[in-house]
Amino acid sequence: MPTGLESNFSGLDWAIVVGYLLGTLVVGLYVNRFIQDMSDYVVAGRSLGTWLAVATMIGSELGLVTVMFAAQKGFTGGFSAFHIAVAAGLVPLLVGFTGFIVLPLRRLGVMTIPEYYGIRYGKGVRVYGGILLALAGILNMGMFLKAGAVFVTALTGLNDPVYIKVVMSVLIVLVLAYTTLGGMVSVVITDYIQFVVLSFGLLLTCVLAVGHLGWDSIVVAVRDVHGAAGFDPTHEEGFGFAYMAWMLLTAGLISSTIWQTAVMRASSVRNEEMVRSLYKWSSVGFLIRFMLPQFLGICALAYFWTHPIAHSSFFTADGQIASDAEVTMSAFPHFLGQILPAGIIGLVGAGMLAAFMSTHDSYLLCWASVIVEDVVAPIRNGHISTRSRLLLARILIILIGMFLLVWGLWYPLGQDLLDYMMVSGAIYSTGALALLVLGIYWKKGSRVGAYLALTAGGLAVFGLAPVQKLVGIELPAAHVGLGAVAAALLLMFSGSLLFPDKPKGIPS
Amino acid sequence: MNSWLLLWTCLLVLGATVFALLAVMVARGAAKDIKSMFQDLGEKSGNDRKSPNDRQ
Repeated sequence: MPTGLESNFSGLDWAIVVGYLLGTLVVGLYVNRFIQDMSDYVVAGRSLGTWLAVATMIGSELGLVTVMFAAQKGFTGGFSAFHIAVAAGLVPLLVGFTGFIVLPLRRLGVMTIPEYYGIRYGKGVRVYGGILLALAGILNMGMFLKAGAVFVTALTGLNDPVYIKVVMSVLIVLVLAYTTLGGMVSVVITDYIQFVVLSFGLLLTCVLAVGHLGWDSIVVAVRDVHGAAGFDPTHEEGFGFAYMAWMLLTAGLISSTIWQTAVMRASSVRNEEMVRSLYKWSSVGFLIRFMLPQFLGICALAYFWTHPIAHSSFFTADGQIASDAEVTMSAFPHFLGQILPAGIIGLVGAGMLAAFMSTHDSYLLCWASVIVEDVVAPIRNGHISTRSRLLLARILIILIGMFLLVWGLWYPLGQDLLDYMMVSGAIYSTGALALLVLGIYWKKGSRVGAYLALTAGGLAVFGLAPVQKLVGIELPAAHVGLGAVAAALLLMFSGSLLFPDKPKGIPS
Repeated sequence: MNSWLLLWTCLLVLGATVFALLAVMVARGAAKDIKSMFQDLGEKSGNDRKSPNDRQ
C-alpha cells in the first residue's frame, strides 16, 4: 500500500458515515413489519412502480464493487476502457426495445432463472442449474468484502494491512444484520437512498477531479502511460477485439438479461410495459455505472503519475503500471482521499458504503432464495412452508456471509477485479445463455442439451488467474470465456438434436 | 488516436449530462413510488390480518 499519503478523512466524516449506516439499519427494522411471504421477501410483492424500479435497478448495480472494478479498469486501461461502458449501456437499451429474453421470462412469472429451467426442461435441470447458479454467484461475490475493505482503508488513510481484515469483518456483520432483517422491501429502500447519494456524489466528484487536475493533464498522463492503446480499444497492445466481444456479452447481455439480480428486478415490476421502460431508462444508468468510475480511475492515474511520493507505489521504475491487482484497485479510493474536502468525503464514503450494503444484501438475498426455491423446494416437491423458507433463506445468508469472509481473506486475486467477476459469473452465465436463448427461441432445445450446456459453462473457471497458475496455462480470460460460450451453445445445440425430449403423451 | 479521444470526450459529457437529468427525475418519481408501495403492502398486511382463514 502507498506510503506517505495522508487522507483528508476527518472526525466529521466518520460521524457522517456512522450516522448514515445507523439510519439504514433503522429503515431495515421499520420495513420488516411488511414482510408476509417469500414474494414480499424476494420481489417486494411485485409492487414496484417504474421510477422506483429504475432507482433500485441502478442502485443495486451501481455498488461499491462496481465502482471499484470500473475505476481499476480506467486506471489500467485508460480511456479505451469506455468501450465496456458502451457495451453495458447499449445492450439494455436494445433489450428495452425488443424485450429479448426478459419479456418471455416475465410472461412466465418466474422469480429465478432456474425456475424457468424447471418449466422448460424439468425438475432435474432446475436443481442442477440452481446449484451451479448459486455456486457461481457466491464465488462471484467472493471479492466483494476485499474490495469494500480496500476502499474503506484507502479512503480513510488506515494504511496498516491489518485494518483490511478488521474492516472486512465489521462490514460482513453489518451486511448480514441488515439483509436478514427486511429482504427485498428494505433492499429497494436502501437502493433508492444509495442511488440518490451515489449518483450526485459521483457527478460532483468528477467535476472536482477535472477542476483539480485539468483536462489536458489527464489526457497527457494517459498518453504517457498507455500510448495509443489508452484511447483505441481495438489496439493490439490494449484490449483488442476478443476482449471487446467478451465485454459485449458479459457487461452487456449477461449483466442485463441473464444475471439473476437483473431478472429479479424485471420480476418486481407490475407489468410488461414497465419491464420495457425499466430497461430503456436503466440503460443510461448502466452506461454511467461504468463510465464515471472509469473516468475517476483515469483521474487517479493522472494524479499519481505526477505525484512526487506515491508515484513509485503505483508505477514501476520504467513507467509501467504496478502488476499487483490490490494496489491498482486502491488507486481510486486513495485519490478520493486526496482531492475531496472534509465533509464531502464523508458523504461520498457513506454513499459508497451504503452502495456496498445494498449490492451485498441484494446478492445475498438472491443466492439464498435460489438455493431455497430452486434446489431445496423442488427436491422436497414443494413441501416446505413459507415460514421454513424464510428461516432457511436467513440461515443461508449467514452461512454465505461467513464463506465470503474466509474467501476474501485467503483468495489471491491475481487479475483485475472486473475480469475475476466476469469469469466467475461465466461459470453459470455461459450455460444459462445457451439454455435461455435456445430454450425460448428454439423449440427443439432438450433436457440432455441443457445438462451438457450447463456443464460446459464450468470451463470458464480456467479464466481465473490462480486456476491457470495451478494447471500451468496462460490464456487471456476473454478467450477462455468466449470458448466456454461457444462450447455451451454447441453442446446445447448438438445435444438437443442427438437426444431430443420424448414427446409428451396426450392426456386422457 | 485523436478521433477516439473526441468520441470518448463527447460520450462522457453527453452521458454525464443525461444521467444528471435522469437522476433528478428518478429521485422525484421513485419517492412517490415508495409512498405508493408502502400503502399497497400496508393494505395487504391489513387484509391478511382480517382474514387469517384465507391463508394456507
